[in-house]
Amino acid sequence: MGKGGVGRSSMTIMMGRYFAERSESCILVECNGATDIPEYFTATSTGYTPTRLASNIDAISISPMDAIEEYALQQLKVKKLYSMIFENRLVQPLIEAAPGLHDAVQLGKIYDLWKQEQWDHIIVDCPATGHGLSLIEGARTLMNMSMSGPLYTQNQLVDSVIRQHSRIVLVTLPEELPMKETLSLWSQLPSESQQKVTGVLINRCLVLPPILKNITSDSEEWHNLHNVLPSYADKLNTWHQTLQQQSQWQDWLHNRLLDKHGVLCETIPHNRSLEWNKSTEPLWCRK
Amino acid sequence: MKTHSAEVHFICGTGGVGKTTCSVAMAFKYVRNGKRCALLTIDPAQRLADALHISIATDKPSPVPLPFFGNDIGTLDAMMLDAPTAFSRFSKQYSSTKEWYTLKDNRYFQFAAQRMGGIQEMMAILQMMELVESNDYDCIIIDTPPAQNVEAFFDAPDKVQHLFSASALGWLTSKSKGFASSNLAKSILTKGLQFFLGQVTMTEISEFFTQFKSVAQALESIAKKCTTLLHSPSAHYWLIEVPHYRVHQLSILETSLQHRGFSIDGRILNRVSPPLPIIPTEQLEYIQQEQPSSAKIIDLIQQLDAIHSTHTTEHTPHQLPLVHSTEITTIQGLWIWSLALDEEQDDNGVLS
Repeated sequence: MGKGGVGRSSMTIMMGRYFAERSESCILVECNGATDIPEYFTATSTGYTPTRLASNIDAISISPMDAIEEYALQQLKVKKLYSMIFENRLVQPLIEAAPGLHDAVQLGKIYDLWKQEQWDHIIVDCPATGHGLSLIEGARTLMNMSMSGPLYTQNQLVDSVIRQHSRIVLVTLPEELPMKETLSLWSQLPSESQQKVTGVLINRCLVLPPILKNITSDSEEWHNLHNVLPSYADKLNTWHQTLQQQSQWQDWLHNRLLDKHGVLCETIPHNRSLEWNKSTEPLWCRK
Repeated sequence: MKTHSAEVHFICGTGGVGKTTCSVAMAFKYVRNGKRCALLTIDPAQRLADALHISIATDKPSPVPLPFFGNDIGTLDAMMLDAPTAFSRFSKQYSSTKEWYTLKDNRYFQFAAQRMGGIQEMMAILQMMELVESNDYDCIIIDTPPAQNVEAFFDAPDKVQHLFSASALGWLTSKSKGFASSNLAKSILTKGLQFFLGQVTMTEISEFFTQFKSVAQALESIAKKCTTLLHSPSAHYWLIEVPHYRVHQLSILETSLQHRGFSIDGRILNRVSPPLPIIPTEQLEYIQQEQPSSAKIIDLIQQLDAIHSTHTTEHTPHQLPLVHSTEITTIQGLWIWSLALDEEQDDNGVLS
């Protein structure tokens, strides 16, 4: 989960690849009809049925309308009856607008995938911040609304499975706005869900090679470089400043999440390979 | 039909390209031209408040103080949409006292305010139309939701019209006589809804739609005006992009806007940094021979720059230079940054 543009899809792919390399199968789930993941695997596209993207990696793109159709068909059994009801021009907008339904049916689909027991891991690329929050609370919301009926029973099941078997990974960037939004997202999570947060991935962190790290603007080497190639020296200087700012924001988050609540934070270097190249075990594997 | 004097600018883009910050920059640009501007952000996040470093009201546009920028400038009001608040406010405004009395305690109404599918987008267009019709503004800037939700945003006027159309309401409210309808089709349809909502809430839904009739009619007519506005010359569409970032999604977004018949007025390329100058071959060879350690440093800098590059060679009408979020910490900083938008403004022809 995280703010828009922090790299949730990238982190989803990175986690998937990590598991796949260890021969653990996984399915990457995109919601609200998003199809950002297949592009990375140079696959054409994904749809409402699981598609194989790489060895041990499948992907699916869930859309609310597909999920509503599938759920309704399960209940009604007869396609013709479904068409009569759901393709009716008066009813369709009402169903689309039914409060909380979008989130609940998508969550229901994730539950279906879990029930199939085909994969070791189901990795859900949640929609941005608030939308992600209402997704994971989707079943609970609908339960509050309908006190009885098939929907209540169904959602009770979904909710208990999601609560028992899921974990949350937050994604952010080492900058002011994403950091602040991550903290507010964390505080908006129900305390039960806060317990399930395995940690925060701080994506796109600047990593300076050791040699460059020592060439600060007060060093002799920097001045030499500045004499020959001033713009290169300036660039290096900018990176040093960026690095400093980024580490300040990391500390800021550490103070508020790690120190106070024991939530782990992990920096992810800015690279485009989406490979886990640290020697340590990533936080999403820790209990 | 009455024509509006306000020009409406839609700031569109994929997630994480800096739409909110660019929306503020855009607003500043028109403020500099002496316009009375309103800025509406739809994203539930606090980004606008963070970008402007002031607190912003969610129920009405509040003035943004711009004391340092001279006397001949226009004004800026900003507002962050809170959908549940807006839904309640519109419902109260368009219903009779008696209807509102029943509505506000109706459980379905409360759930609808919080979680109705597409509520965010539907309230956004209604709020936008309220700003347009107030005639208080020359220029209204809409900070749209990210690409995936922007579809829902531009679909919202049609959705509102369908949802609250007289025929759909007529069908639902006729059930106040009880669910046992003589009409087979109706009973099947009712069954369909019951699958999702359970028996208990059907009564509440029925009550909701009965009391919601006048609100629905008002909302439907606003939505119709909105459809007209979206296709009128007063509507302007801006695409925000970042070099080499989410190219695939951007092209989907662009195609979708074109399919709707919206012509893109301009592009803003955000976070552009100047590329490192190319070192002449002779100089590089010299460095490699005489100062191998410097050559290594140069090589490392080039490699790192390639990873973090936000350079561009393509020409776009407006390019906003790279800024780290911490570099713009003041409203003055944002103002200065937004000056980049004033260049080449005449090339577009649409700005005045």
